[in-house]
Amino acid sequence: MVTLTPESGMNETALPRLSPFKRALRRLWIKFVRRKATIFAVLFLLFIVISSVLAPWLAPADPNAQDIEKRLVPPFWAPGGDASKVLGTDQLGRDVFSRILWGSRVSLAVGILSSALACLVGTLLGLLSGYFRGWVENVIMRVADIQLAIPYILLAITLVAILGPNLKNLVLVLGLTGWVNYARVVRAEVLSLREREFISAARALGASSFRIIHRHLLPNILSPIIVLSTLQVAQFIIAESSLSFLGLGVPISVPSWGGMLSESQLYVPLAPWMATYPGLAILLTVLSINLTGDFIRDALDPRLKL
Amino acid sequence: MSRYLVKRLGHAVFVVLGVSTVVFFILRLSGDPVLLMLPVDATQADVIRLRHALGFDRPLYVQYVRFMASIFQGDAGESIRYGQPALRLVLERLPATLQLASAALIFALGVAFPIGILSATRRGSLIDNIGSVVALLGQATPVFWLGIMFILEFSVRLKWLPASGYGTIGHLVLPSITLGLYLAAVTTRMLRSSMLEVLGQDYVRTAKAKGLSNSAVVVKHTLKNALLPVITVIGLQFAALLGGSVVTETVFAWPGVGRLVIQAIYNRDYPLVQASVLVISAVFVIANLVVDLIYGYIDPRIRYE
Amino acid sequence: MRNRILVSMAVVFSFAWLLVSGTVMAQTAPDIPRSETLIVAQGGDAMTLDPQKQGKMIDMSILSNVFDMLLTRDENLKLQPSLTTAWKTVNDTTWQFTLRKGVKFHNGEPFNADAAKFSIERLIDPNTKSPIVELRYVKRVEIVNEYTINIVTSEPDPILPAKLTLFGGVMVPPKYIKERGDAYFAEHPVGTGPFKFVEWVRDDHVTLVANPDYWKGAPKVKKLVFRAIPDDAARVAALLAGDVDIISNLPPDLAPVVNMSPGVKVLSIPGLRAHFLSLDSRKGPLADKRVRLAIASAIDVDALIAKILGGQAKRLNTLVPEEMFGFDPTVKPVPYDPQKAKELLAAAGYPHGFDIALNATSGIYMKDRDIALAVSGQLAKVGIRTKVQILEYGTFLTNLKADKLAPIYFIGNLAWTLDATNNFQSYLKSDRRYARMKSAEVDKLVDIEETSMDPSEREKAMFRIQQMIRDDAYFVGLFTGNDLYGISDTVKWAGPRNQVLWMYNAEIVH
Repeated sequence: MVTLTPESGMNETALPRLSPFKRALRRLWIKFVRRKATIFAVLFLLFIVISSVLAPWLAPADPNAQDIEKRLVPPFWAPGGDASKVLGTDQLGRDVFSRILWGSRVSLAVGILSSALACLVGTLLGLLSGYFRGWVENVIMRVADIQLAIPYILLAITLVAILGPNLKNLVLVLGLTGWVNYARVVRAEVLSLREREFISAARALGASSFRIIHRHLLPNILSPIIVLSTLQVAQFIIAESSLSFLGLGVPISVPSWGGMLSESQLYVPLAPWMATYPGLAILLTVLSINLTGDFIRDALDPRLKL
Repeated sequence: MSRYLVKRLGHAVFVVLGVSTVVFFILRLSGDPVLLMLPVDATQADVIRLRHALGFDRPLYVQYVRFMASIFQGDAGESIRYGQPALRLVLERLPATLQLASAALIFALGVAFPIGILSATRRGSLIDNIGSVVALLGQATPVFWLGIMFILEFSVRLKWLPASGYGTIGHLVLPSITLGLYLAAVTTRMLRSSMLEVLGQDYVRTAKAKGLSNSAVVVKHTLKNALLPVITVIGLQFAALLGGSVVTETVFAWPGVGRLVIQAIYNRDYPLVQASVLVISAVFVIANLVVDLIYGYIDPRIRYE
Repeated sequence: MRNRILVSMAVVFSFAWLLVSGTVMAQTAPDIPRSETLIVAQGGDAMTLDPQKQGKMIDMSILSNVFDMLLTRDENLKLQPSLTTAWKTVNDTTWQFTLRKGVKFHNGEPFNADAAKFSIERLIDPNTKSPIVELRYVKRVEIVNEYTINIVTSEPDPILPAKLTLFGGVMVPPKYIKERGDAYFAEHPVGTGPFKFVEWVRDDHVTLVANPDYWKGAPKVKKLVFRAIPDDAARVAALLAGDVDIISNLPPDLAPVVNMSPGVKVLSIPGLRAHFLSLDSRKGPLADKRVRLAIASAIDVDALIAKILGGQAKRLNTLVPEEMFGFDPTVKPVPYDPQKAKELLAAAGYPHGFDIALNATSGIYMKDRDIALAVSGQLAKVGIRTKVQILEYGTFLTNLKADKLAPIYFIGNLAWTLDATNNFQSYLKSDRRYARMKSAEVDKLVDIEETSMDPSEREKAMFRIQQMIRDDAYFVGLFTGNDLYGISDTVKWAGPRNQVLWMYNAEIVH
């Protein structure tokens, strides 16, 4: 087996004079336009982000405005529907469509921020413990074990009891519970990689630990990290709802997709639209994040043919 | 190897004691169990009396020392709400949880391995697309919704399976599929991406070039080398399942650890939460140890020191 | 490699098979067919089967079928004899009870004065760590003869007989408990009730069988099973699937689903839990009586009941449901009048309203979350901008105790003694745990109703308290929610007035 650093094994001859950064960008672009699904995914994510920013102007109604005379109105095309309530209303007569538009803010923020936090912390600790091993590994992995065993509801209750409920603390709680996954996966990969020839070669050539981790290990572990993050975004969007429902997350006046879902729980047989549309929003967002994640993974991994 | 195991055992003790300590203090910051036990029309004197009877009026360090001493005697105190040894209450639930978790795991692996392998080797094919859809649904469908839908369809309408409860194999089917779907999604996606990664490596290409048949390449080289992250995630997820899966257990009225723990947390049943966290931490320690040992089997280059 | 995978798969599968096949539990219950079995599903399971160590209706519902109380309530909630046949006061601090003769516990142990003394003294013993606090003034029990006891209290306790109906009056077998110990008793209960205990799988089910020697005559149902199905929708599904015959705690939103389905119907019974808002009258805008009255007039309680609660509730005037002793029917709630509310606010110096916080729980009291939101929506219409904060129940109670709740909070209170004193207990007198008001007159009135042995004097004080609560709007009474049950057409059962699922009168029709 020929030992090469993974970055150097590419047929990059077509783009020799560009800086590595520009080269990477160029490569990314070529791959991007080749895949239509990714274009849709990115467009959809952009759409969601823009609509969440523009929610105050796009939403036909105040997401918290109640009208208990018009509760549980079905979507406009269904019998009994109301043209002004596009996707129907919920148990307090609030407009489902407007709530979905507004709800994207919290859901995206919580999903992305907390998995980003978890990813950052977890990857770093995983790299350190896998690379240095010894006491570093022991300490980090035992802390991980401890972290895993503490129920996150308990953590959330206590944090909220001390600090009060808000978005920041919610991200903190989810990030705290999520980092272990990354740490353990990254460590496992690094454990295996560090024994490979190309790492030993780099070490023999006098490369610093930082350089080895940064240039040789990190690029090789991106794939599982990206899959984990995209999985976790969906998980956290839903976890937000169960915590917020208990009063441990964002205030009740802030709509979120997950919150809409958990409020719909009692109405699944009677008012299915209450669950369907926020559920669909989560599904499509997660799909887009998955596709984008897959694309980034592939794009960053030069060995993969597209 | 045996030295390694002894060392890990030492670590395990450290973890269990660490968890116990952290949870002991977190719990005491989380709220007052006596208030939750008594009706709102209890008087202040009633509160003080019960708090004293339960020993929660003693200084914190005294409570902590007593608690630690009780762990070393192999018990974790008596649940204040159930009036039974807390550790026993948790261990009693383990069989039901183990059953559900194992069934979910078997379902998940049974779905994930064929789909994951095939979608990696036949990228862009029909099965790859089906696999993506299943994985997507599995990770983005809320468990409570799926569970209720299953019950309405298979129990209420078709009357094939009991709506909820515990006892026969029939009771196990719906909850294990509900629970297993997420795990299946996670495993499929990890497996697919990790196999793609390995398939792109030079040695696999070399093997292919040498004329090895496609399936032999797959089994011999790819799968084994792709398993590292997959096993890690499965290990973590399975251990999490053993710690209880609150939503599934609630929807299907499954008497598992998850419901016990969540109720204990809501009730601030300090001894019971402490005991359950103790058990859960032991489960994680074992699961992670097993996973770490499997690493060595999959990739002999990984050394245990 | 392939072989090894196959082998490990085989190992996994056989392991799994062992697990799964191990689940078919031996049925220890006597062989009684499903058609003779009544299955009741509640939202949770008992935590202990020791009736003196629990304080929840779910536990009490199961245990009321195994144990008898000294007194009981009839379908009109009137006090009735049970294990005691007569009661009277001897002096201000002594009540005398005559016990029923010829009653035996399920293990054959006789019920007599010894058993009654043992039961009550066990309940008040601090070592029992009981959450049942109503017998707080009981000092000791004196045996007069084999079937007569005197209960001596430290202070006058005018409603002691009422306290001996449910949690407070359960009779337990002394010999059995002394021989087997508390822990065993808590998992193998023995009482004098209409059903005998058979088995208990925690968080799943409790199985009971008819007691043929019950002193009132054997119950009509041969076997009674209580199942725990925590999820509301799943509980309804279990009823529709025919897995269970009766479900309790049916949410009003799911009542239409039950009504639309064949073979099952909804049973709606007026409830006793008082749901209300507490207004902190000690500081801030709410210190002004006009502001509190503005809040009371801005809330359209009838709309809340009709829409949010599906009509399944009754208007509550103050803190006291009409079933309670001491309820004053002449005190009418503050009428809904948003215009008046705006005028009151303007007069109090808030022509543009003000901002204020409102605390509520989620999933603890009837539709708590939605009620809090809807109240907030109604207050917004008169300019009072409320910030609703949902708190996890444990945090809610801890903050309530620490006096850290928002100026407005929503709570429910069940006084199972059916005496208004329990509705007032923690909230009114300024030295009480949850008091957020100060009124020397109310303090005095509370002393009277709590200690006077003269019912008419107590009633007078309670009437006055309700008038003051209404006029000064210390609290805004909202509703008492109905208790909803889903019940199969194959079961004849009237449903309880006091939430306790006593199944003695239930019957299966074929």
